[in-house]
Amino acid sequence: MLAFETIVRPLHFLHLVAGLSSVASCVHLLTRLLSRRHDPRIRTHALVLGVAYLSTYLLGALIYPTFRVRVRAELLDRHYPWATGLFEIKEHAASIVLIPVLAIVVLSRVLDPRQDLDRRHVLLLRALTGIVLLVLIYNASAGWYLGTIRSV
Amino acid sequence: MRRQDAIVVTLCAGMVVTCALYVVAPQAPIYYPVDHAWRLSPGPGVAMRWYGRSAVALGAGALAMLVAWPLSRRAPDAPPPPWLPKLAALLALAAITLALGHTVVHEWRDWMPR
Repeated sequence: MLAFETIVRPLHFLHLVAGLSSVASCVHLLTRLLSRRHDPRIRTHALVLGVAYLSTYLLGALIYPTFRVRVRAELLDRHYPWATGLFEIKEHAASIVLIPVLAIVVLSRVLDPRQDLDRRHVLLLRALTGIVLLVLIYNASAGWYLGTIRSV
Repeated sequence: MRRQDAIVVTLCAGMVVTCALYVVAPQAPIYYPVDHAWRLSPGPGVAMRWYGRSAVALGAGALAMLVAWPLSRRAPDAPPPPWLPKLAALLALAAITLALGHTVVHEWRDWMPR
């Protein structure tokens, strides 16, 4: 028996819910950041993004041993190596943007765009949110597509 | 340095170091899910390198932030030169883009049909 294999399906469902919440909160956050008016809801969206992303990441880490053995080793690596490639990009991208997500949460709380000295950092916040959103859209799409081949 | 500027520099340091370590990929513990075992050297059986690689890169990023925070706070309280936070932000964005690009190219070469 692999680690967490007995509860992998509920974990996978929660991973899906947290992933969808991450995408939704990131879209809301980027929309508000691109708006000309300062919107105090930016902090809420960034906090939801942080919590949802961290949950998605940790739940994915718990599911991974079962996926690695039951799906990747038994099916994908042998018959659909390109699908393994899609998955590998997804997992590495998820780790690479973990600190950028933390940065988004922190910057959204400490910056005040109404102050001149803080306004110059807002571009960084927008760029990070844009990159994270692209990764989230790729990861959600690849995760859904891989699930149509075989799931845990 | 203002608190906000110090936070930007600290976070950028963490992002740059994490991305650099992710690309360099130094030796890290490998998890063997069937055996429930961790090993430092590659062995037979289904292996998972992602946990170790991510832990090393994220751990190094956290360490970089722990070092950068007191250093940037110790700097004089006047605003930093305008180029410093800009340079830090540019470096961080370039590092993330390069790390993501490196991952795509590397995995594409390894797994996509030729």
